[in-house]
Amino acid sequence: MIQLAWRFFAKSWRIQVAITCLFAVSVALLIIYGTYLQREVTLLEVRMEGELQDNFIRVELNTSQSGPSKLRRYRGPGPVPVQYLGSWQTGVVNTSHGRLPVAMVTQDEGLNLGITSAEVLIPQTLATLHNLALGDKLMIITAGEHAQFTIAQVHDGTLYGQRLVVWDKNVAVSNVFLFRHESNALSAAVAYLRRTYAEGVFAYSGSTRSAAQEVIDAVYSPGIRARLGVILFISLAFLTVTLFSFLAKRRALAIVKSLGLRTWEMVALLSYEAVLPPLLGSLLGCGLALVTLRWMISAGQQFIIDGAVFANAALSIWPAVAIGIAIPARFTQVATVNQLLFERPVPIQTVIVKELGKRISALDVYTSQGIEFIHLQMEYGYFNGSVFRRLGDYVKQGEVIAVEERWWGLQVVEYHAPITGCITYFQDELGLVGVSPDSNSKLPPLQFDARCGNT
Amino acid sequence: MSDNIMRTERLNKAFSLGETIYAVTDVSLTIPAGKIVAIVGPSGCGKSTLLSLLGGLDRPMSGDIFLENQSYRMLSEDGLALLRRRKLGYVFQFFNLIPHLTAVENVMLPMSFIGVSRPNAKKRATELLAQVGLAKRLNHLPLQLSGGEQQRVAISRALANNPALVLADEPTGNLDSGSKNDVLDLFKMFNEMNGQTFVLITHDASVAGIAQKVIHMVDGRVLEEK
Repeated sequence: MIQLAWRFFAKSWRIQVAITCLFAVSVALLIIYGTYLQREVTLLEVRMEGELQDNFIRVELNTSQSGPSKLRRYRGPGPVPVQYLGSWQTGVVNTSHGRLPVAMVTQDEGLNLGITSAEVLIPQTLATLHNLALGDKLMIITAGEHAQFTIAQVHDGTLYGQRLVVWDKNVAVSNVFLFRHESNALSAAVAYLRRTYAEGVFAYSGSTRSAAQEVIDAVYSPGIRARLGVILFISLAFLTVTLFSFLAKRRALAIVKSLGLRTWEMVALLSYEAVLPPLLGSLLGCGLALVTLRWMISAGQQFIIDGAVFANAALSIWPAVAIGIAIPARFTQVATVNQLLFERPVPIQTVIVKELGKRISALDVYTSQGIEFIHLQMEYGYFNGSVFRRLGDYVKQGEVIAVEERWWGLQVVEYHAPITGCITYFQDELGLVGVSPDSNSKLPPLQFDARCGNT
Repeated sequence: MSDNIMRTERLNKAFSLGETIYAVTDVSLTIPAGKIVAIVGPSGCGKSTLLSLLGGLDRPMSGDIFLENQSYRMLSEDGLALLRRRKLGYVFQFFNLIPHLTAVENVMLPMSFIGVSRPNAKKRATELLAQVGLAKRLNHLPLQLSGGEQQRVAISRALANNPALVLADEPTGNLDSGSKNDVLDLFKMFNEMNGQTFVLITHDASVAGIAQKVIHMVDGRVLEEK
């Protein structure tokens, strides 16, 4: 069989080489573009605020409120995935070094600044900007009062932003709330908090990268659409080639099926041809992209070679490969040898009619005697199918009385005898066929044309 | 074991070609085991359609076929494929060889499906082709063979797995009289030597002459069995 598969492959080697090259170039382009986008995300992420660590979730509201909102009832599995830590009010205050942003932390349980009420935390950037060091004094003016603070610690800005941080003495409201989530329950925790803080701006571990990704996706949306277009194009090209190749081999497949080839062996036979070009194309594309990216990195570009980008690009074409194998395999599975050989339509659905769908009161006199009916679908008094049984014929229950092909042969309707007995009723204009369990029915049979206008 | 290797029950097959053509109508027949059976009749009487049904290449619209008491109706397409590979050999009217494979590879193909090793398959294929007079044509592609030679390759392929029943659609239709007699002798030899059953479709009285049973068909119906 391998030999046969190879002969099939060799017969169309030119088109296979073309498809392989198409895959290689497409995969390489997808990888290079994906790497470029990833670099843009990374660069933007660096420019944006740092990541929250230690399982923190920060919710920032447009308006201030006294204390955290009462969280809505948790409906997920296990315990509530978040714990409230504390809150603060953001604003701008006059200081001895000008107007500076400040976070005034309410003295809730769970949040430990590590400073006293006369001390202040300062972000590294402000400390550098104003040449302030630990132990230096800073005057803060709030509500007309002057207060002197000692710079006790420097923070990196990830949790509070680039703000001074002090314990809140005068303000009883907050607009930023801090929670801690259970390990490995980030998404559940965020989803839970969003039910309460629908309008809040959320920050958590990974949110910066997500935000950067969103910005890049928005900025580069034409390119991303083009990338999807490339995937769609090569998928359609591959499917077209595979399905045409299948149609060209339909006769040969019919012959091997007539010799006893089973479905899974047919799938294997088709898979050689369907899998080899995408596989080789993906590998070649990855190699081509790797060489190109290394060259660009050596030329000074800040690219990072990421296996995930390679895998995404290489795998993006495989749904088409799966479809390219599945459609012909399913087709050869359901088709008979002659349907393949003579290119006859292959039914994809068989409907079996073995009883009258609804009660017809005019037939009550017959049904009361045990006669069971089926109803052939007639069009203007004409049955568009084949009728195999005549009035007076003995039929077994389930025996095919008539067959009708619909939708160009894609649907087959089989009319089965509802019971074992004798056909004692055949109304050819309405297509009613009655089978009597007793061949000596007392009612006289109606005269009819057994083939319903087809003879 | 039953005396009949195959029997049919009220087989029907029709085609919709603008109007409905009833190709096979209520055909019930028996094929005795170990015999050569000829199905004869005028063109278009449904002989080839009937043989397709017997070979499981097509499905009857109603009725059933039993090969060694195994109902075709109960089998899936895969089940039918297994039946064909193990018990049936089929010679098509138009040969239907795989064009990409040589004569010997065509004959080896069915053997590869039942797990015969490649050297053994090649040995048997070579023997079979030698028996039909194609010892010097082993490595020719079908297109490099005449119609008669292709027919003999097709016969060799049908016999490759030593099936219990061989169905042949006009097996001598494309052969000259010398080749025809060789093929008929071959059928008789395999029938006598292995007890294989042959069902032949033919117009040719001399082919029907070697049959122990002759089935006459007219208008899709079996007229008589002798």
